[in-house]
Amino acid sequence: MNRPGSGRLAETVSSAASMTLFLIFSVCCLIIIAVASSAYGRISGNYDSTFNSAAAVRYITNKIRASESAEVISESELLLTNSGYETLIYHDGDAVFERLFAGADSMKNEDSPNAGGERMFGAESLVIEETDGLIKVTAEDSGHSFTAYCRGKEK
Amino acid sequence: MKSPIKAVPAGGRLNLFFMEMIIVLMFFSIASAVILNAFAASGRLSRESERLERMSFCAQSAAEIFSESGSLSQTLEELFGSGSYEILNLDLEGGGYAAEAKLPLTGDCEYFPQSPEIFMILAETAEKSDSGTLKILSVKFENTDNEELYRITSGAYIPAERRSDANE
Repeated sequence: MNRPGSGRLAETVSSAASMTLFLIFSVCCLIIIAVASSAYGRISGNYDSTFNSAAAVRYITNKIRASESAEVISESELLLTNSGYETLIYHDGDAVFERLFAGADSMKNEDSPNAGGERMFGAESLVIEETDGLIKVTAEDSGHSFTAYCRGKEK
Repeated sequence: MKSPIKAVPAGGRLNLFFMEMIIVLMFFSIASAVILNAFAASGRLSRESERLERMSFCAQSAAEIFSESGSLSQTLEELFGSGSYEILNLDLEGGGYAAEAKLPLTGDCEYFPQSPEIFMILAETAEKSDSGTLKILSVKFENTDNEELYRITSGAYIPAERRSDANE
């Protein structure tokens, strides 16, 4: 013969077991979401930093190949000349900028040539060196750096 | 003493709730395995893509330096510094020559900051003629299983009047 107390105990334990199952399910969901968001954030951040530095190097080397002459002004400034137009590529702060000087406006006539340019890529550093007829371009962003050599163009 | 948990209540009615929860958890575990597998694959593809891009930059630089200098030794010295490579010279029929260098890429290389466990193989062949010398450089990357990962070929033509300078 069943006592009334054991029936209430059975219902309580059943409820607790069902709540425990729900709890396990929700904890598993939270773990999966945390792991997935962490993986996505890491992949996205890695892609952004890699893209910025690699694209900056490729852009600059392609610009050098397409220009008539290339002159390294300083470690972070490059002046390209093509059909009478001058393009100044420089690094300022946290990005690579580009400024076009058209017609009679020469970069050397400007008081502050590396100002007012168009922002191209985000980069923590940009180093441009010229050795033995070769131009070496190195860009770094968020710990990812890329380097490429390009044949220089004599002015 | 009877167990307080009764999966099958009196009267023979089946309690389907626990069975449904078990099926839900089983479905959830299968779906989570698929999702985690997809994220792991995407992370691996991201690393592969970055490594391929680095190989592309390194090979492009080697080709540019070779087209300017026309010398495998100068190319290696410009890329990796002196004393970090060994060039194997081979003889070709018809008056040409070939040279090959195989380098393990370590974490000290600026092109690969993390050790990628791959080898870079540069092979130069030269065909001499009366008007000049045609030099061809093949840049190839292989993993530890000798599986080819990336390859490009570039050339440099050196007219006869510059040939003596390039061979020094």
